[in-house]
Amino acid sequence: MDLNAWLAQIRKGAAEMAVLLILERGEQYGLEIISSFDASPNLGVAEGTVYPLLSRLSKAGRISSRWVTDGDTAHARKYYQLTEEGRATLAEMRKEWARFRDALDDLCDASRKGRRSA
Amino acid sequence: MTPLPEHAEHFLKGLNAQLVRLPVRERVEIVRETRAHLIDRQLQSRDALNDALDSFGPPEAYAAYFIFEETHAFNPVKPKVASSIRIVLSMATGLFAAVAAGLTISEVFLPANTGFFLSESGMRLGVFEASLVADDVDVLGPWFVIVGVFVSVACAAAMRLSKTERSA
Repeated sequence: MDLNAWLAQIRKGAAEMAVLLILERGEQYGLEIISSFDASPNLGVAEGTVYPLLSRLSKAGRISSRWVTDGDTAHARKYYQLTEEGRATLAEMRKEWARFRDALDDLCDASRKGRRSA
Repeated sequence: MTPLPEHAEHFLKGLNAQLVRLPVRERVEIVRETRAHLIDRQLQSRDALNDALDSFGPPEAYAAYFIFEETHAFNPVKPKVASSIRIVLSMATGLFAAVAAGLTISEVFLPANTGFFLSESGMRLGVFEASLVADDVDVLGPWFVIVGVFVSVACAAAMRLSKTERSA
């Protein structure tokens, strides 16, 4: 059975929350965010999708950015941080995610119990 | 500026060309950030740079992500609708400018017939028979020409500004 399309839908919806969660740790530039995703390969966020996602979150006012020239390189990097609106959105997302996960877990448990008793 | 290999520069050039539909400032930001990312990857290794380019795909595919966000995600007015509204507004402004210019020229050659007239029955703006407006008050008098020129120039400037924004 091909689960790729189903997984892609789940991952697409979760990627925005994942970026906000990563930025909750503090200001980061694109490659640092991508490295966090590399450490969680099950999230399935590809390198090429991160910057468009950051662009969308910036336009939505959930994150802000600034160019910084770090000491270790000669070129500037664009650092992102959560805005107040982003923090509020993330708090709501956390609640909704917990409800969603619990509801699906309940269904899984009920299904498992149903199979056992059958 | 840290140099990138030719194929990476080629990608950035293609990306810039594909993003032409976006506002200039946004396009410059995207290309600048993509360049910074590729330089960081190059500093890691040549393979890391190539992996990044592979993940981005062809410039048109990568640009499509940004264009999709611009035109679908957070634009409350769909671009086609916004464009139609702009065209209608531009045409209305042009018509207004043409009428203002016509009245201004008429005021120069037919000052007694042209103007913004007030009478007991109301007000009227335009060119009329002299006998019809003989008892009316010509509100602007000779200032009508100055006001007409100002309105015409302002409308023309607004049209030009609108055109520049559309092409940006």
